[in-house]
Amino acid sequence: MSAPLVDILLVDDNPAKGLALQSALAPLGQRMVMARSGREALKHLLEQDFATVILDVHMPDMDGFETAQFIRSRARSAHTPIIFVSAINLAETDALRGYGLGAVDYIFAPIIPEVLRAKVAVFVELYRKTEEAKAHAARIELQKAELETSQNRLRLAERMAALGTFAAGLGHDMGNLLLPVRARLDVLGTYELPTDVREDLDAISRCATYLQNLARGLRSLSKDPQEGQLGATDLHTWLASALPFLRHAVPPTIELRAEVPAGLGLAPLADHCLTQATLNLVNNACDAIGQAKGGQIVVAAVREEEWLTLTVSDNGSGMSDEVRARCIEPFFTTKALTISTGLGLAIVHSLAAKAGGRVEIVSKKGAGTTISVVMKAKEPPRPAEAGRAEGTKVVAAKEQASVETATPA
Amino acid sequence: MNPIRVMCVDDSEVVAESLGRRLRIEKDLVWAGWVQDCARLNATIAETTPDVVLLDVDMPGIDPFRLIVEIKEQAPSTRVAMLTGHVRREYFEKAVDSGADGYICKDDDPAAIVSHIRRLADGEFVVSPELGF
Repeated sequence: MSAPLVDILLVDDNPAKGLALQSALAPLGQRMVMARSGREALKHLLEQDFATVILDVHMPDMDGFETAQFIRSRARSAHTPIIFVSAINLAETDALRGYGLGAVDYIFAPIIPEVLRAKVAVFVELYRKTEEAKAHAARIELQKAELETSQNRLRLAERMAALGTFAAGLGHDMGNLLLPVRARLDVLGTYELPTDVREDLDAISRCATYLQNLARGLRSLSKDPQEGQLGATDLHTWLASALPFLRHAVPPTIELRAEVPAGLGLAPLADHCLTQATLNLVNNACDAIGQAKGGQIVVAAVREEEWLTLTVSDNGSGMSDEVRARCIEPFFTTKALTISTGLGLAIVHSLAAKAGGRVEIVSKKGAGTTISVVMKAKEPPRPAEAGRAEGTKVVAAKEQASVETATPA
Repeated sequence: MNPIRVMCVDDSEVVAESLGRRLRIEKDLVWAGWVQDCARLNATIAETTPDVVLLDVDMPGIDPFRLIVEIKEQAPSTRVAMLTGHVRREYFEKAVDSGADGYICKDDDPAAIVSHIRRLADGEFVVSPELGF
């Protein structure tokens, strides 16, 4: 690759002398900018940097020394090498004045092209090396910043992995201890019991079911979403088990509602993948709502012919067009790195793609967000159950500790 | 039809005893007891002649997959299944490789566990739906 061209500024009020300078330097093959006065030279220096300035000492209005003074006084051009071109009879005091103003060299007219070329070539090379060093330093800065970001991500990933292991252990132990609880409840159920005791047992039983689902949710959270992604999961049954878990992710100030009727058919993803995807979407929804009053998140599913759509909607802050365009990129996040991997929507997107589906995002700044995972159902719809499905909802009021199924109307 | 004799190997007394209480509700099941100390496993199997043995995976210092092999050597007609809280594919595969006849999750409803036991005794290979099959 050839080295990039550099710019040389030639300043001379005499067009013939200017032309002579240009032709002397032409063999260097660099870009040359011609100025007819000190003022014009300063104008060019405001616009760009030069490898060197060839400056005629004797010019009307602003002479070479004055021009040099201005060049030196600006930080950006303070170190630009200046070569003065002067008549041979330049007084020694003037020459010293030139050096005092930062001249690095003098060329005496009539100029000898080879000498001028040799001197300018040195500055061209010096400029080029300086630019390379600057670019190199900038690259190092960038790499340093990238390295820091990667290290932060790694630390976060390690923390998430530790949390995952902890969640799995907790889920396992809870499940283990719930077996004796449920077994004993079954045993108690075989006795003739007064109505109020039976009601007590029913309440305990509902709590046990709730905890059982929570334990499953904890375990599914720790599973690698890349592992065993595909499956056949009934959305209604899945949500009943995932809901207690999702509710834990939602602060009490936000209402979480679920509207997933039975009989929609089977989604083509494993249940832990659905849980992780939905948890990510619900978490994002919570962040979009923040501290706003009247926050609401709805997890819903509908079926249209062979397509199943699982949506998570919120009435939060919505996304700007820029965020919406970028939100499914891995590592893209609008949150602080300490609370977000920037992988949530990317995971959802990859899961949907694996299931032969897609993610649709409808969002407007200030008007909430609806994210839909559209998947091809594993089986045809069951028309006989569709009517019944209409009235069935999983209700998830935030105060409720158990999952209820409303009676169809 | 002869009742099905069920034995359980688990380090947790509350889990094993509760399971026993639950199984005793069923008329066709007989609780043959539980073993905590695996050193006594061979002797207990010889004494109680279970039809079905349910094995926990997580027992301190015990390789549960090795136990499957040992039980099958001692009493080849005994049906052996894991009964565990671990819903993990690698454990399932290890159990199958060691000759297990089933893999039951403790997450399953007790009634479902009863039904798994009957199917095991019937000669079926039983896997909890939790494993995603």
